[in-house]
Amino acid sequence: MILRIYGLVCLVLWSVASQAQAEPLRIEITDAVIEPLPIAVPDFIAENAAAGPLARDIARVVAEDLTGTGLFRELDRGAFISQLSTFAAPVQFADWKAINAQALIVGAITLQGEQITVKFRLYDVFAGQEMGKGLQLVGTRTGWRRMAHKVADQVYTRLTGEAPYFDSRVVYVSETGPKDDRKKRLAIMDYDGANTQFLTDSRSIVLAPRFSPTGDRVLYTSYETGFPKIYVLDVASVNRRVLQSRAGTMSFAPRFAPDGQTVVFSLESGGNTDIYVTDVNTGAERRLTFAPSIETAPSFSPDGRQIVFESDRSGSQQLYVMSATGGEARRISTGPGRYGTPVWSPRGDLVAFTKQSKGRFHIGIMRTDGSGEKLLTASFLEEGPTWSPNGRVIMFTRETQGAAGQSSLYSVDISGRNLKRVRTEGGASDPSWSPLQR
Amino acid sequence: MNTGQRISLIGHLGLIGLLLFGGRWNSEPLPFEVSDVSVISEADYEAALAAARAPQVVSEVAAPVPPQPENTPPLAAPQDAAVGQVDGVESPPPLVQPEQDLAVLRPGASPRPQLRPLERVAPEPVDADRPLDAEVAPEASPEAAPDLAAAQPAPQTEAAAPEAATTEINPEAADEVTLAPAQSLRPKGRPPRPDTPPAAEAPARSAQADVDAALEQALGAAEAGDAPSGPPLTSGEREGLKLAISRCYNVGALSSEALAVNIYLRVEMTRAGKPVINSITLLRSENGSEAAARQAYEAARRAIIICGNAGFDLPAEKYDQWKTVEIKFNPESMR
Repeated sequence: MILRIYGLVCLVLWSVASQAQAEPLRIEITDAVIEPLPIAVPDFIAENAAAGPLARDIARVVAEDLTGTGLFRELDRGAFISQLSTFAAPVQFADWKAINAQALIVGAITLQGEQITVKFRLYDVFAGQEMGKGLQLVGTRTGWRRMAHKVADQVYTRLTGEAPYFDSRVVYVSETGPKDDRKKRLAIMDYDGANTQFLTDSRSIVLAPRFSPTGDRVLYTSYETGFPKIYVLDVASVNRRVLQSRAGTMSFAPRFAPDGQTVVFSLESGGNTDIYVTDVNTGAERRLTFAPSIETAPSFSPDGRQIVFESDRSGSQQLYVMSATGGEARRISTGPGRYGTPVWSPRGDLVAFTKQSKGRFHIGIMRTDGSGEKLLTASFLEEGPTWSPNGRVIMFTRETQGAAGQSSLYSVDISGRNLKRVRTEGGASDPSWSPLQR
Repeated sequence: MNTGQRISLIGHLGLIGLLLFGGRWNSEPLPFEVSDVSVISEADYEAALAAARAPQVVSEVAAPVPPQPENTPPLAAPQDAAVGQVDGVESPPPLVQPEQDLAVLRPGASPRPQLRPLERVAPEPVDADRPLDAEVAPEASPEAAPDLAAAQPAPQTEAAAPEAATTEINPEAADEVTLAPAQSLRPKGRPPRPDTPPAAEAPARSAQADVDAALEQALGAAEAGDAPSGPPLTSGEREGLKLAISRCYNVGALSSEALAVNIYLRVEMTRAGKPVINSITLLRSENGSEAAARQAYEAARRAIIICGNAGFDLPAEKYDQWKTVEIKFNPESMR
């Protein structure tokens, strides 16, 4: 009996030991590097002679879009070993591996009259295969930059897994003149600063433009009548109308609800500022807060169920979240300093804000419950964050110190990397990022 | 009763006796001082304590005023004076260049060192007159009767080193001599196992035979070779592989969702330490959508391919240990 038990134990031990020995080597990688991914963007192939200049320009815009994210590094075209002659030619992966290109974009352009046809393929060089399928876009010659942004968006999404944002626009307040006599007017541009157009003249002060969820309208505050009033402007026709006007009151800080039909804003009446909502079509109003303190800068959550806003009800400026129908608000900012201008992320997971602490201003993000606060920037004065359509990048205003101080637009990744100035014509402030164009 | 038990018995008896009769060695308690104390009232205690308290501030003391500077002359603003010749300072005499390029000092000529004769320790050449490149004709040797002893295999002897010829005695040569063994003996192989009789021939198996069979099967399978052989990788070797892969594991372009994904993949390796690209397989993923897992997998795959392009530094003799590698990519430090 003992011998049988002994034999059974031996069998069990053997099976365990043999299984253990037959197992592969197992390791866990917990460290990584964060470096721009080297990519190759050769000039697109001009499939007819007229497309030559556009082939170069579109390739440059695609490369600038990608490298502008800080996530990619364009390889010097002088280092290319392979030269692409036709779009259908097989890719010599060894040549691109040799220069450490990890992704390769091959594109071709045809120009017929005013119509452009752009097609491209994206290759994973080290895997030696195409990433996704080739794509062809058709557009007009005047919209060639948009087509380039579209190509870059596709590449960006395939490489990062993030939603795209290059084919978007920014509305902002253009500023000219000295600080004590500054002219302000609304302007709209591509996200990268190209194609600037002015929407208003500089006869009256304008503030806080905000895009509608569809990008076709803009809300803003104007001092045209001497009191701040909210206007809604149609971007295509530049026609505008007063959205809210009540005698003896000041209305400001408007922002669209995700449905595009409701606008939440602040209204000052009798020395008290509270938050209201109004229907864009009917003008019906409803008051959401009733505190004797100042409640302002409201922003809807993407699902339209909650509103984040700033209030000094606790004695200092802090951030609160309440239901979109009003009611009890809960404070989400807990750190030292003053918090303001909260904006809910398009993804719904974060809130961007301005923070003033120890004499400096910061742009930061926190989760919607107030946890995970992270300050992304710091300077003499910065405020007014706005989210990119994919919730990965924040654009904001930064003003330099002194009498000759100038406002400029900056953008930063939510990781805190890739802080850079956005190219604008003259001074700029109060940006609002549009949704992705359709 | 053996000696140890006797010693233990004596020791225990002695210990018991010490406990029973050792009272006489107890020392007397040490003397201590006794002093008289008196009980005081609370009022007396407060009075005594008040003397030790810090004095209270009864009036504000004016802050010292910093002394005013006494007729400090105002600092004169620096004037932009024209730079010119300063009076009262003798200018250095101009340098006079020598007309001829003459050396002032001539270095003393030291005696040229002379070669000392070396003591020759090499053997004298046998045939000094013969040129070194001359061919040596084989000498004709008389035929000899076959030596019977030559038919016997000569005992193997170590070949003597050729005579060293040098002009100097090299004392460092002695340092190379070491007493440590140059190599260890190869372990003897396991003796061949006796063939087990076929089961048909065994009319009845005893319990002992069952155990023997089980052991034999266990040991035999372990020797069969489908399991990895050789010593396992050292922690340093494993860490080296991890470091090599993580150097190429670039998560900079990953979305925040993809960055939260853990990826498990398997890769086959060649003996040269290079990954077989077609063998890289996604086993499973955690904490993310399928699209995010795909992005994370691509980044992990690129890391293996790029850094394994030249082959990972892995010990060839342990190939069976790392022929197949399963890797968990968990960039927790980057989140």
